[in-house]
Amino acid sequence: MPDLIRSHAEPVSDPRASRRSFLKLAGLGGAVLVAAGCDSDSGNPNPDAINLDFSNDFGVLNYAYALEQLEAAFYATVVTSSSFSTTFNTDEQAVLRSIRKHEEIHREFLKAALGTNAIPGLTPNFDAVDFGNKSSVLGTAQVFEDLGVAAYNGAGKYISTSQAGRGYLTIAGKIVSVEGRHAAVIAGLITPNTIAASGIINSSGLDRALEPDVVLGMAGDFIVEDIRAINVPSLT
Amino acid sequence: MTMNTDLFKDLDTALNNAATSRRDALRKAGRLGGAAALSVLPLYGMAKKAMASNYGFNPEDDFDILNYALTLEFLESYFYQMGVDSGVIASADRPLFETINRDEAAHVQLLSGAITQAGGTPVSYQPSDFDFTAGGMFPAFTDYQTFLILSQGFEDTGVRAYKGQAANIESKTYLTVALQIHSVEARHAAAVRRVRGSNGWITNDNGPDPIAAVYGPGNPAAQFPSEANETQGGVDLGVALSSYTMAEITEAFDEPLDMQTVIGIAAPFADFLP
Repeated sequence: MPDLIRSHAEPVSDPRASRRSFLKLAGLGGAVLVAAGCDSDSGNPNPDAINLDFSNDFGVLNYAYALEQLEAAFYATVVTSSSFSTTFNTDEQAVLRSIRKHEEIHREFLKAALGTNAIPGLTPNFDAVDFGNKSSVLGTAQVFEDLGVAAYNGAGKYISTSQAGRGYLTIAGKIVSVEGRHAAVIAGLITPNTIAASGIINSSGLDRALEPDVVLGMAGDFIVEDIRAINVPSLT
Repeated sequence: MTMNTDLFKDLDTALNNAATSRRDALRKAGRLGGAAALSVLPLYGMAKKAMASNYGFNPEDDFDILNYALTLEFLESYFYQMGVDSGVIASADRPLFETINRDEAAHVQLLSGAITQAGGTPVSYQPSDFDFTAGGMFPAFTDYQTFLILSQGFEDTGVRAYKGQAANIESKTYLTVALQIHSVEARHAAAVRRVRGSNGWITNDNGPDPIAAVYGPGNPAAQFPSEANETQGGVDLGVALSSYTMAEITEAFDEPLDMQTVIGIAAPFADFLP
């Protein structure tokens, strides 16, 4: 299992992804990535992208797996940063260490559950985060947790009503409430007595439920690979 | 926080006594036969396929699931309204509980409106329908630690209750709304747990004695295991993810709870529940 976990920290070996990473790093990939981003027909698979096929439950579960990969990689970077113990107080350190474990467990569980249907390991890009700065780290954690909650809340309706699907929905529910707990604890570290960033919970007392294209648009800023949801059913 | 074990013992005894008397009442109702048992159901129902063990709520009917949720929201809403009004809440924590109070009142409004809009009849309760002292044994609104323990118990129960019904809801619209409430209840639970000096998440099935049942198994236990469960999707994560501790694995997943067990947890605080 440690090998399994370590593999996520390394770039994927898919040659297309490696080439894309290289292009992006070299500053040459902009046009290609922008072109992909402008493709408004989300129903068309992009052969160069990691496509999450929402027409079946594996696509939805892989969506969760992608987000858990991102969260796990983020917290692992946070707690292994050389300035971790000087940037955060004892309580904050304990919280961040625990959340790291939870997110890794979510990632490893989903990977195991998906088996050969799992998407590759993603390559995170946290260049925008200052890991020696408390506000930067906690602010990013809050974005990820609130986004994770909204993603699960918005994706529940896409899980099938088959016997297996009902099981997946319950498992997603077991995970999303823990993400909600994380979100509240992080919010409380940033601003005492709060449970979410301002505007996240609406006047009806509801958390957000976001569509996969919105979530991936935001999460995509932290992921090197082009990852998109395809065949998302239109539900009223 | 300071652990007042005598208080905990008292609360525990009170809960056990209350639970025993409820069970007695339920047994009596059961002996009187189906018709008599149904007579204790609220008028909203005309309860389709009513099951006394679920207080008449049918998990195969979206209206019943929504009314079940609404019943729990009424309980929470009045609990926080009374708590905020009573002055029991430490001033430093007041903004948090005002937020929670507002959220729970909004949930009552939302669910009630949704049921009405869809042509159903929402349940409706008054503050006097609830007794958060459970017969005078809980100093719910005069002792802050008691208030906090009950708050944590109601929130963590709410999380388990919504999760337990998610897969039963047929309407995609209601499912999404239920999920949007579910995660807010989880946020509340985490924040209250932190006020109590606990972790925001549930480690194993740990919980203070008076609310231990909140973290225990439901019925059937195979489908609704305790919060100490470490088997997910048929995979024993204690074995598969052996580099993580059982505490970490159980913290990473919250468990659902069935209607009957949830109602049993709520019953000591609601005069109308069996």
